[in-house]
Amino acid sequence: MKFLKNAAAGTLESSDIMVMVSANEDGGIKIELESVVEKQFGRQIRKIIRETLEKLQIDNVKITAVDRGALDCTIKSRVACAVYRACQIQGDYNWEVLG
Amino acid sequence: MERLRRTMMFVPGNNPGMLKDAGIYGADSLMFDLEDAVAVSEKDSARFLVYNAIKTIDYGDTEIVVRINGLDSPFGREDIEAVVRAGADVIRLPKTETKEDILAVEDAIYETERKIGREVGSTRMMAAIEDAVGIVNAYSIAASSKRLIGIALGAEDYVTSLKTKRYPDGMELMEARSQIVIAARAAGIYALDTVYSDVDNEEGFRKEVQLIKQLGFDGKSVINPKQIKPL
Repeated sequence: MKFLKNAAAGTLESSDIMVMVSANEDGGIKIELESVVEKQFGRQIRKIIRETLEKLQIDNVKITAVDRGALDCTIKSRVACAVYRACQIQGDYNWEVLG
Repeated sequence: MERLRRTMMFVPGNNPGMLKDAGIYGADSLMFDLEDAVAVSEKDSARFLVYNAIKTIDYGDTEIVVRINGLDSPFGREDIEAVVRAGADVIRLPKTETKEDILAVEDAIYETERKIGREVGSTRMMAAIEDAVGIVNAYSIAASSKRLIGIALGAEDYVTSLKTKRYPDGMELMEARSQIVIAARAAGIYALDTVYSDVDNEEGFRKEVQLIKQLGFDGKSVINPKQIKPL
């Protein structure tokens, strides 16, 4: 999938995570995370973000995420949605890799 | 008739906090809403969220229903694909007017079940009837598919189609409610009543529950956990 624009998904409400994605010109996955539970779950949140990107075969992305205590399934959903929006794909999603 | 469906609680599909906690209130069924509760610009994000919530969160024995967008919208087909893949128990079709509406959704469900190897027929359906045309066709809708577990009245749009509004005594809904119950009973499926929107009026809610029980309904949609216990 190819990034065509910057995109975001999610909200700043409790139990949600706002995920913003843009192309990383230097290559690789770069994650900037702000979380209310950074000390306890920062490593896990980054892991889920990275795994979701890998499943979607995205390896040149910058993620800025603001977490408000989201479950893993919410993090996956918001990352996938933001990536698909950035690639301007609106349907025929690859559901098999998402869950 | 195989299970209780007294309370079917609406849960907005794009609200992670509500999806997370929905299972703790004791509703017989949860209805994750991808339709009216979700802005057009957020249809995709709600679909991802509901998909992953169903796959991940343990809702126990609670029945999981998803209200999809209609097939006349750009979202309905992808909703069906996601929801069948996720393993929802029931797909609720909004604004059902004819049996053809049901058959079109049934075809789309069948396609996905076949594609992913889910048992054909295991995804059940329910139909919300929300206007005068749908009420006139209530029995034909109720008897249209073996997948149907019930038909429900969607009163907010229905009263608009009648050029009236909702009143506290519910007289404007009497004919529609009777038709829904008669059609459901004739087809051997459940009859489910509409929401009561004034969540702070418990007395009015209790009166409405008594009325629909008298008419023969099996249950009712609720929009707030505090409506579950009185019902």
